[in-house]
Amino acid sequence: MMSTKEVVETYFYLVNIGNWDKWVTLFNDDIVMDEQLAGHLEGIGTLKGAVEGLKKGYSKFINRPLEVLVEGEKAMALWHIEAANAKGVPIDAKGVNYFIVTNGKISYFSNFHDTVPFKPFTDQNLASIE
Amino acid sequence: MNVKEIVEAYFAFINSGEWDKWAGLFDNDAVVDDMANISKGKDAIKKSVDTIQQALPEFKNYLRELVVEENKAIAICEIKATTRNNTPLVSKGANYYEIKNGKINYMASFHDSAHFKLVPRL
Repeated sequence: MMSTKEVVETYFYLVNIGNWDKWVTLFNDDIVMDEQLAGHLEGIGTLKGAVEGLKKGYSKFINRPLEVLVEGEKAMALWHIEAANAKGVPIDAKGVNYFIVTNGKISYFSNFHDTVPFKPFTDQNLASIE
Repeated sequence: MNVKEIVEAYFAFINSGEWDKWAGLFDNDAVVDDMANISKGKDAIKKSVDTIQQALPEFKNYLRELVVEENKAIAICEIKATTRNNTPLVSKGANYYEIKNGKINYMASFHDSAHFKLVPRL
């Protein structure tokens, strides 16, 4: 079973190699998520649906952990995202993720950042993207 | 004070309105990046308090979660404030702290700027 720190490190590793299908396996089936852009999500099925939006909506997505602090089951990560929407419009933002890791899986996740830098992503019509 | 006590005091002094004690938590050469501005040095940090007090006469910031490792800490916090026009403002966000010799040496704050759109410009 991975430690809290290993889970968080793997979270960023899988994001940065674009392996979203493996990334989603880091989460507990009963995951509760308060995502700054997507809002309140519950359950792995909902998260898998959201991942399809990430795959379509970003042509580039790099999320570098600048600091990862761990206390037992809780971890906080300071990060820097350099991304681009489906048409290549750049996105640059820093923020924080909060993780609770239970039995080697992420059982709670929330993140905190400015939403304005993500407008090139959120203003897209994902349904019209091939 | 240890790192946890310093961060807890950061929020306690805001919520008791003891801004001089709050400013005393920072190193003379501290840097504070609050997304809108970067304040360098204790005098600039003290000045930022005047801006907050004028724009948001009612201002509370509650500590919700805290993780500390060595000299660094990240706090999840929730601002509950009222603008000069009596418009309520709520914003959940995060603060990152670096502590050096018992003082806050660096701090960065992460909130959604959309929550602060209604704050009157000074």
